[in-house]
Amino acid sequence: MGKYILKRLLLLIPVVIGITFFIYLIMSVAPGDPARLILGENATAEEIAAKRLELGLDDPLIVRYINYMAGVLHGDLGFSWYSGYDVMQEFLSRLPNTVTLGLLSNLITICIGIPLGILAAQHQYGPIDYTTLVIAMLFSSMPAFWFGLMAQIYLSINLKWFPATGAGDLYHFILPAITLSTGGLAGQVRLTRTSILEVNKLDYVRTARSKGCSENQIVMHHVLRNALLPVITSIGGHFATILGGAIVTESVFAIPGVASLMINAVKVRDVPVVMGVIVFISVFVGVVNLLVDLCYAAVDPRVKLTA
Amino acid sequence: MKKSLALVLVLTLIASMAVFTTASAAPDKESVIVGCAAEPDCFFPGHTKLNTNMDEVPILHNVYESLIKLGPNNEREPLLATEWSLSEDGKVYTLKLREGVKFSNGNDFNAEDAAFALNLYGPSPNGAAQLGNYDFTEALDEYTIAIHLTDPYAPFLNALAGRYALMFDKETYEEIGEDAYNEHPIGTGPYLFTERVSGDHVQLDYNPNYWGEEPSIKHVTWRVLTDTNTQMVALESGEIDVLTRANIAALQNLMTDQVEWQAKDASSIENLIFNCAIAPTNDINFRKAVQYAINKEDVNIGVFNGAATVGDIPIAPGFSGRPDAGQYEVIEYNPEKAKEYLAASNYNGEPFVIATVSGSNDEVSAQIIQGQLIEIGINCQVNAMDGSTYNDATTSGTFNATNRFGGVSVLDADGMYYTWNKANATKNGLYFDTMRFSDELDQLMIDGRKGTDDAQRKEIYAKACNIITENAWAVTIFYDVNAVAYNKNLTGVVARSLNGLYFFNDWNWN
Repeated sequence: MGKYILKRLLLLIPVVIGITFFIYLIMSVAPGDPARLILGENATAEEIAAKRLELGLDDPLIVRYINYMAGVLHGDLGFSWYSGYDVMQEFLSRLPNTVTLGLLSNLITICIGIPLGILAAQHQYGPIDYTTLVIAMLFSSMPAFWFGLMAQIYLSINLKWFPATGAGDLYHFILPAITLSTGGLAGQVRLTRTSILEVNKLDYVRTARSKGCSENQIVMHHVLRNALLPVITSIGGHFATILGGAIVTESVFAIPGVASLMINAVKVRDVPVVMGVIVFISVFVGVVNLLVDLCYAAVDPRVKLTA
Repeated sequence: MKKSLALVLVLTLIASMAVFTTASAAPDKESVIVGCAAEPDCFFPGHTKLNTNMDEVPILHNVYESLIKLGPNNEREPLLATEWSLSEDGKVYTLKLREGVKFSNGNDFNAEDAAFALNLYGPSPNGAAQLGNYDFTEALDEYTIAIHLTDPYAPFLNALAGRYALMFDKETYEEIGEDAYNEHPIGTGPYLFTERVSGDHVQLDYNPNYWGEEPSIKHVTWRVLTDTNTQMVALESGEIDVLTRANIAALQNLMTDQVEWQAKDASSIENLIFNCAIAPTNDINFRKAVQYAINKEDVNIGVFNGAATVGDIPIAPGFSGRPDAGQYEVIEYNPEKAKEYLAASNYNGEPFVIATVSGSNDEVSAQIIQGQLIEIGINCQVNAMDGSTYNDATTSGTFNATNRFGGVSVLDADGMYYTWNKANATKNGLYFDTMRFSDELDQLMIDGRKGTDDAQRKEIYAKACNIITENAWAVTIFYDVNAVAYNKNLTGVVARSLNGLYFFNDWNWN
């Protein structure tokens, strides 16, 4: 197990290098001279040239990339070209908001999606199955910005149950987490339902049923564990994408998270901030995928993790 | 047991929700929460390394103070300078500074600080764009400074109310440097910069060393709300008390009687400027066809629900130096005349490309203009791009026109200088030569900024505007609008032409 984890962590290195180099390349060829953008339109040609020199923009791309990565290896993600703030500090100050949002949203998806999927599978082609399906599809069809806005109007302005914006305490995250989870909920319900139905057809389940086990016993003790593997993969993937993909939810609920930090940086070609966030996201996704694989082994003893 | 536990959990949830609701409903008469659209992150007024945005200006004007203050109707009032005079040749301003003023760290403010600040700002690129014709400043005694200009500059006193006349502590600046000063701003203003939480808010609290009257608002939270709908929700739910740079169309749909709003002509102007170097816009008849084909009132309705003032010349109402009606030529909407000019041109249906910035009022305006031009037979295309790409594209010369607002911070006709004086507009290679300049216009721009007689300046600028109109080099579409929305129990909030000039110590809760 230890060897396997070490191997997977080592494999992350080329992945991170590949991703960061690709993003660095794209940022470098994008239109707009960062030196001009930083200094504004009143800057003189000499000042722009000096700024380019200071930022190393006149160096070849590969040299700039190597210099950047050398800094990263020393724990230095650099400073924002625009605000001048330390990228690491900016990122870390926003990370708790994004992680809280991601965890809560996943919790909602798991707590609602998996039971609904089980319920739908147990009542296949019945009214409960169809109702579950319709509700799940309805939620997933609603765009996050619209669902969030409606939730704010009815639950925050009219009923005053929840705060509409900000990231003060856990209360502030309830509406955003519900909004963020709606998109993945339908997929979770459908995936759980399909997995359970597939496992239901297997011989050992038929045997359990013929032995006289109750339906609940069969589902909870025999079917669910085996049916959970694809569900775990889906949950892992969903959580990994939240780090950079919650931009709409963060914007609608004014949550200062990592996604909004990155989008604002992309708009103004703030390379150190974009790169810093990308480095973290690529490592994070790699680690989450590793955890997903470890979960496989925990859930299904037949899965062997070999180095 | 399980049921009891569930009951306790539900009751706890309800109780905590009730506590939250009650807490958020209780108004605090010493605090105000202000919403803004972009994150402010530069807190040293003349930072040479960092970019600036509109949303940090109100913070700067409450932590620091300028020498002169502009009132709600742009009238000049004493602030750190109590009186001023101008030499006969119009090149030296002598200012008497307020005595007994301290920085928030306890250091005294004096002429050395003022001279040091102006001598830092004046030569910098952004400072020079505001403090026109600046040469140097000297301290004559502890509380008197003399500002020397290379040539007279008509709107100079207005410039002394702007960002590049905000005073900082020379001693601390020299001790800790620009970057540290940016993180720990020290000014003479009524508020202290207390905290910045990345992406969320900036906190200002009352400065006990403030020389003036103690404000009734002691704490100001400056919150970042980038989405327009979110801003409206926060306003309606009472999570923010004031919203600056508010979207007028959204304000008109507010569903609460607890919020009031007001709008004022802003300092920025929307211009469609032609690139006269390439076809079809190198043909004056084509440009005149576009001039007559634009129904500006429709653009105003489409962008601001009619709340803005339709433009006629590139000088907004209220700007000093703006010529009086009748002094300059005005082009009225006339589609028939537009068709006549189009027929007289060499236009063969090739694309007429307008470059603009996506997601902005400029894009909406360009799209409405596109529809109007298609109606008279012009194959108009709108190329909307992000701000960075747009800035780069303006050096390429591949488009026929740009549709973009242009802002000035001195509320004077001299704002034209930056677009219409060739030497200035094409410096640094930022803008290529679009063949829309003339020696006469260049000279008028220089004469206008040096002029000291108001009537004479109006004549100069009327002449300049007529040259632009006759050559159809540009079409002024509308004068932008600044709107501010606020809780109806908050008094003293006034919409300003310059967005940054909100003074929180003028505000009070009823």
